[in-house]
Amino acid sequence: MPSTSQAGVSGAFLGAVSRSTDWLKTRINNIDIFDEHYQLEAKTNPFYALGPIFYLVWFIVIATGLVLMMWYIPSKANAYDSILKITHEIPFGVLMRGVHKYGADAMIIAATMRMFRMFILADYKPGKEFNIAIGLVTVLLCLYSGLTGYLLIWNQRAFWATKVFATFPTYMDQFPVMGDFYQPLIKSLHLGWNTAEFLLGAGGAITQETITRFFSIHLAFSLIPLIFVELYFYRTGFPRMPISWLKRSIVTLMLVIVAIILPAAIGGRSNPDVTPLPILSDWYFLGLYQMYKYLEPVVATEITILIPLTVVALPFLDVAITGPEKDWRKRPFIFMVTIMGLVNWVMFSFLIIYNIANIHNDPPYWRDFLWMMGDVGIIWQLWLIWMETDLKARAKHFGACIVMGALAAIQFLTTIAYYFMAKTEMALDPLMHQFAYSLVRWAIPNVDHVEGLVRKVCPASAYTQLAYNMDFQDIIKTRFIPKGGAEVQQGLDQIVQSCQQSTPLDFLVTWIPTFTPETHPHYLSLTDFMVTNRWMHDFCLFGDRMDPANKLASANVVNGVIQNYPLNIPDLDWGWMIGGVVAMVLAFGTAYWCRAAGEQKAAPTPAVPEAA
Amino acid sequence: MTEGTSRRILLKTAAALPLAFTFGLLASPMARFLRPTMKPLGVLGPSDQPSALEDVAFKESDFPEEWTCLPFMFKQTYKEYNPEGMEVRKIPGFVVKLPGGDVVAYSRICPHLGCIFNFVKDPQECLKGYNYLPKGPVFACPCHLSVYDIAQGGKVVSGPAPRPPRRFDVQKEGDNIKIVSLEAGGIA
Repeated sequence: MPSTSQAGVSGAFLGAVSRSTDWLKTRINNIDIFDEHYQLEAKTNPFYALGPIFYLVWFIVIATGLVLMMWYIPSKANAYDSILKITHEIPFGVLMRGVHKYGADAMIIAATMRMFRMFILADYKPGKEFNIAIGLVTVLLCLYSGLTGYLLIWNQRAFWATKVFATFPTYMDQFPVMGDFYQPLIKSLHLGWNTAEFLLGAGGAITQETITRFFSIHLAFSLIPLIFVELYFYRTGFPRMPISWLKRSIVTLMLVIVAIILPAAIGGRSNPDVTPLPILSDWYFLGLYQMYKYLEPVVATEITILIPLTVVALPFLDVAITGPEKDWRKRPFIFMVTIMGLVNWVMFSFLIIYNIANIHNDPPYWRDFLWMMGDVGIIWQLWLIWMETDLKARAKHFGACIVMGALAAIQFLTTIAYYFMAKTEMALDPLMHQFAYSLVRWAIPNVDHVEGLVRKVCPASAYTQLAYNMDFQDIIKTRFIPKGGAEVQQGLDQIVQSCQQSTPLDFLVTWIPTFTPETHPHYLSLTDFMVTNRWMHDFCLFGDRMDPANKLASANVVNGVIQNYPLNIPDLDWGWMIGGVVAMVLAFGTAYWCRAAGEQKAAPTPAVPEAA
Repeated sequence: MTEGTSRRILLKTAAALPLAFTFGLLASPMARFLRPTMKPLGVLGPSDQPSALEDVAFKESDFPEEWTCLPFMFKQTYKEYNPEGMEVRKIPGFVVKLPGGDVVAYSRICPHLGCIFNFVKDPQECLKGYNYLPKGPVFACPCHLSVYDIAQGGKVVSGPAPRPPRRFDVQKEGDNIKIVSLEAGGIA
């Protein structure tokens, strides 16, 4: 007979396992690809017919695509000519192309509207959070099919949009931690570079390989989901298109009429040697395109990856904050975030279409809008909690306050990072390096002397020219000794000498292999590590740029390019920087208040007087 | 009964292994993503750096005045999984004569996201098209409006680009100007 404690432990474990499998099973059973669970609502509310409409248009697009494939030639030399032939010579060719193109647009519109409907009407409650992720996958597959599809026309717009799309993953190589931004061990992975070469072919130029791969991906993005969707309908037994023939005809006719009135554009034949001004992507990427004008490319790439992850996380956050509540007026946080996403997307697209954005002055306004919409949502949500008079109900909001406080805390951490980044124009990675260095700086012998030498051999003005995947000593040898001559050589020699001195913390780094195994297989000491990986240089640069004594009397700031550190933070930015702190303090304060309410409620009031 | 279950598991595993192997083969091209292109661990051989195929030659007389800017195509070979084992790519470039008489050459591939930038001689034209008024002739990219000052070594003076465009090595031998190699770096 097993001991009771063992049974208790294994029982608790099995309980947790069965609870989590139940949790998963509920959500998997609730999966809803084309609004199959809303057939009744679809009869009265057209927004619930978006799923079936999407399915219908998908099949129209597949059918017209199959017809177009009869004449289309996926080769560099013939692609554009075959499109011309389809448009001008094949009977109804222009109509087929129009329906295919506008059908694809309609799919993106339907899938996006469906996402917003799900957020505003809380269709992910109860127990349907996965539907947001599925809806997002639908949107992304549409976007990627659109992207791979419009390269096939081989016109200028397609060519340059593809170039931009396939090049931005290279900035993943500079992400903190996962990238190869002189991380001592994983600098070699080149994940982003490989992605670009995988999409485009060697050397990152758009060639025959690109068009072949994109043609294949374009088909695969419809065919593979088609198989899974059919399996899904076969197993669940849902009707495939639960909308009336009238609605089906209206949608189909809309596509045909638009295709007749506005024949799909062809544009100019692509020319790899000339990027026209202005050049735009297709409409659904314009918002992102504008964002890439505003932001540092690494940050823009991070945000491109963060957006879908946030969308997947939002329903879980909403459930944590408001529980089963479905009324949007009682879910202000998620409502404000949804509106923020919509306004950002629409306004960015609008700005780029009318070409009225100013890339130097606009970003603070956008940062304010993005963060403060979330802050307003949090405070509004807290206000609803403050209005709660029932102690028992108030105590239940403790978890919600903690979640909102954590979100505001993330904003606060961003504020701190942004403060230093804006002051010094250094990326997050060098900032973290200099911070790590400052923690172990005490262990380095003669540290001021070595830092002085580093400042001498590598002038601060050369910062942006440093290759991130080279050792510091090699950069000095190849770039600065030819310019600086004997003096720089002397400085480097002294640095190399200091690197050989042992330090108390050598055991931390001496086992790590270096990037020059022929001459320098292991780091000799902590000093060597800090010099070679440029952490010491980042520390010097950070110190110099943060030092107000170095600020010149006459500001030499030319349209965002700065020679005068520390920089001033735009006044507008203080709005969101302070807003985050306010929201965080209020959220945690309310959490404490709710907890107190809970204790007050739980405290056993002497119901029966002692006298009795 | 337990024995039957474990036998079934064993048979299922035996059947699944070749299937897993097959799907693994299908996914194997993705292993390219795990292959380090640089040291230190270097377990899979050297990195696939491109190399120059042939020089591009100019004459001193091609540049009659300062700020003469000539486009050219520089051929590089890249490793590629095709029958030749490599592919020739043409890198577009600009060669410019600076006011001091120096001749410099830059890759026209924008370091931001790989579009091909233009030579904009007139500052007013740059203000109109690229949201920035420079002091002299610049390179400017239509895609995201990055502007590079040629006189300052290709320094980014406006827009989101992270660094100057890559430079070509220019060799001067008497009257001949030869462009021999391109600075190593990323794709863009």
